[in-house]
Amino acid sequence: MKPMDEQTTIQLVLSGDDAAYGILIEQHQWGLIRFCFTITHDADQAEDIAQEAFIRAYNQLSNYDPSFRFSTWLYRIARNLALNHIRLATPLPLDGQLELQADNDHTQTLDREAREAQVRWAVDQLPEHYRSVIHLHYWDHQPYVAIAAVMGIPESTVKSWLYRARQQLKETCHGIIN
Amino acid sequence: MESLTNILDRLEPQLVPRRSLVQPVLSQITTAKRRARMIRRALWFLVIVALITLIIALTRSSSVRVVQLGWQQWATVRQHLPIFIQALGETVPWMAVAAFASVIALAVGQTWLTRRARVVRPATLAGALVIGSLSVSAGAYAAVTSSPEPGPAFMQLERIINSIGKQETVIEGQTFEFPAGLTDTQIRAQAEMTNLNKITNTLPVQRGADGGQTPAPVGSLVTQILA
Repeated sequence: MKPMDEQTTIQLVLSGDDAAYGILIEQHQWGLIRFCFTITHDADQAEDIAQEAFIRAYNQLSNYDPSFRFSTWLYRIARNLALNHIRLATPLPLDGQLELQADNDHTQTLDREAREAQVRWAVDQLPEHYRSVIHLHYWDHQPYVAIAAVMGIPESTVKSWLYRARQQLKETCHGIIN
Repeated sequence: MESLTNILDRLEPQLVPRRSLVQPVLSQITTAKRRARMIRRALWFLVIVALITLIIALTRSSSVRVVQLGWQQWATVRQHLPIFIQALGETVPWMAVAAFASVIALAVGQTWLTRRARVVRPATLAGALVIGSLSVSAGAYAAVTSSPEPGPAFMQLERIINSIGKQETVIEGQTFEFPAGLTDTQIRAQAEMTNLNKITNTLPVQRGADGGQTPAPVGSLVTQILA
């Protein structure tokens, strides 16, 4: 079967075809859960928030602006939900935190996985807005304009946040990355 | 040393997807829709009940009389519209009207919400249902207990309508009412006759030997007329 255009699928949903919404969920669910996980650091919460975001998106689908990608709009809903969630919930301890080794001699010997684990940990330490832009830029490969729409900020701020996030990561992972 | 950008490009959140969201989301949407449909039906049922209540309340009150009067005597009522509206306001069962209006507002609001959001939260609809039920109860109570009687405005309107067909004429400071269609001479003669009758009624009455009553001497009558 020929894959349907996203806008056509949305039109089908708007005309009452709920099964078509299943296609949209199928397309975006994993990316959305991962994005929520970046914010919450909890897999269960990430799934719950993603589910709630899909329901909210369905309810508000008539307000969706087709000039944006559906995922941009969906991620924005999910981010707002996740932020509300973490605002209300008590902060969870980060799993698998690593002690940063500042010792240059030792860090020189770190292999590729260890470096990745340290950077991942350092990303987890960033403030939420920096984590989100890192996720959308590096892992979802979203353009600046889409990131700006998800975060509700100007494009220039996205670039500035990315720069500052990288600076912080460099400071945290000093000695193991270039 | 490897660059940060290279590492970041390689990294992804360490999360293995465990369950698909398709079924949970779709079943939740279906349940919400079903609930919303049921509550919507209940709300429209309340609208019908509220309408029936309003009709009962209106027929029990004197509003029908006022409307009837207005309908039959529209030409006159039109010239005294503020009084007619006032008369109507005195008789309308406002509690029943307010109850009906609130139920209609709820139904319209619910329709508007449904247009904006594809599925309105069941809690919102349930709240509307509770408010609607209370409104209908209040309307029913008003319909059963109150039956407003016509007030002063209605009486005034009646007096105005009753005076139709009679001509009010002021002669020498006195107001006379005559049947319509009289000429000036006839009006003046009628006025003189009325005055004469009034004066006659003020004269002392003489009691005859047989017990009958006769008017006072004509001389005194003439004197009064000349005066």
